[in-house]
Amino acid sequence: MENLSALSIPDINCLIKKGDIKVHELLDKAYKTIEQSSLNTFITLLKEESYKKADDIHLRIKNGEDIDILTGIPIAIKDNICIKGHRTTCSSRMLDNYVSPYTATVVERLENKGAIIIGKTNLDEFAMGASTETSFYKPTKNPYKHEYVPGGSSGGSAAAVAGLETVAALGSDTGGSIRQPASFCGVFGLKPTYGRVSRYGLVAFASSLDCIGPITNNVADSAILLETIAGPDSMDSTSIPEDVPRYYDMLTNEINNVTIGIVRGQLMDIIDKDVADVMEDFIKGLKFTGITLKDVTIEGFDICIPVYYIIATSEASSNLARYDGIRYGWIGNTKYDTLNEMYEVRRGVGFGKEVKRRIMLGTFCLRSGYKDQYYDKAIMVREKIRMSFEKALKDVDVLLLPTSPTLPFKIGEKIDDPVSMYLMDLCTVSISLSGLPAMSIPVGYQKGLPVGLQIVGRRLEEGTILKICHFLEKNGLASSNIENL
Amino acid sequence: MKLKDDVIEISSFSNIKIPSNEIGIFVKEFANILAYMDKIGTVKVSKIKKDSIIKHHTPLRLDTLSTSSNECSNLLERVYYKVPKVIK
Repeated sequence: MENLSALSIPDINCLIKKGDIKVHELLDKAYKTIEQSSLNTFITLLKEESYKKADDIHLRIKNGEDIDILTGIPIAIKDNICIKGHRTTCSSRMLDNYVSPYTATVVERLENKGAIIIGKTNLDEFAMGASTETSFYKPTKNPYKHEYVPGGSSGGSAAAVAGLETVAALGSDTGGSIRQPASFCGVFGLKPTYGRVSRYGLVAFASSLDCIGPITNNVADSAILLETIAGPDSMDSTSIPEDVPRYYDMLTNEINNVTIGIVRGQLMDIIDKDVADVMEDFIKGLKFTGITLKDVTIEGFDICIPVYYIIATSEASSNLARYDGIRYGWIGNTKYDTLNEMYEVRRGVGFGKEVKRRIMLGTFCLRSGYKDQYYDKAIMVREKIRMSFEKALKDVDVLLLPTSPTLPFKIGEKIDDPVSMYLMDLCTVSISLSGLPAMSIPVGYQKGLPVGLQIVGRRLEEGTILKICHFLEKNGLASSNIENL
Repeated sequence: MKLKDDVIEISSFSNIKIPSNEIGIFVKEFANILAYMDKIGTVKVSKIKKDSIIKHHTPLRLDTLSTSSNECSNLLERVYYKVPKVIK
């Protein structure tokens, strides 16, 4: 059998239906690749359960039952998304032995279509990071160069897809955590509109920003996964009550009357030359596709980082207040004089350095006397950022900008410099703050490492993004087979 | 000195014990991060309306009454819900 990545979900579905491949073989291939890999992508493997499901699917096919396009497809899930009866660690010592009592809506929807969840992937602790180095368990490695980071926080999911360990994966994106690792690992990563996909069962980091989305080796797979997991959910009060289009059916090899807004201006002064060069080459390629290009200026990218970190850390300080180290997590054998002392010690040991830093920053921003200056001001500026994106998207269908301001960096290079690490989110947080959908697509290769660009759409217009990205992929301008670009 | 006191106070508000030898590191990092965050003070927001923030950033659904789910119905015993035992 070919590598998993060489086959799209529709290709595999055809092979399964024709009897040319068995679901068991798909699982054998995935688990063998994972076990032989040194990328450190998974925290928990769900091998026994996966093979049981494969047995059921085998019987269904044998009995002549019609199967869905996702039936038997191995999918990896970021380990901050709950699956009943299995650990959900968030890569934190605090949740090391936490077993989820319920299943996230996204997982339920995938399983209802017959997808097989093969395991749970590594992430930055509580999704706080841009390199997957803050994981309590291990740092994940970049599949292209093992001494480099895969990005974060969904680094395990992105590296697993790029490293051919799974057909596709789900990640979560608060300030760029799907798009940036997708860019660093040379795969496709889609952050949907805020509220398009239910957050029920996603461990909360910053509730007004958290989104779940697919990471895949091609656009069609992202379309299939998104149409499966998206849609209203009574268990999430912020899920948008609108029907979900059939994204996969919308993909065609031709597009007409499309205008892409190129975001240059202030942003191009901030990003590295390696990334800027790839973007300019990509734009040259676009000129031969018939797509209309228009320069668009969005000011204030430098202000997005402080706004994001004030809002995200404030929400995190509230969301993570629930972890007290009583029913699970690090307990130790110390005797405490007071309940507060017990909380302080257990949280002090249970959380890693970055999580403690963010909880404390958020507490600082929400503190009496400082809230007006930080949090209240930040939510006003957030609206200003949203309005500038709305204005920029008025005359164009989508925007184009880099996903990351730099190439992937070396493991350990930035871990002790929080501001430098936070700046890695420069190109992605503005879109998160605006609640807009965006997809990172692999478009180039510099110094042996992948480079991704973002296609940003209007609210709920994931279909437009997918159509354009599919067209670019079919015209050889984007591909996860990045060395051949 | 002020920031060191702030860090000690915030760690207490956050219920997080920071070992005394790590406080200096947090103070240094906080100084750098807060200097960066303070940039928002320069942004003018006088034209931003609060209604717009509520409309675009907290898109909550309407709260409507609905019948309880089957899962809850199974737990219903007379007028009380009987939930599984947590502490043995």
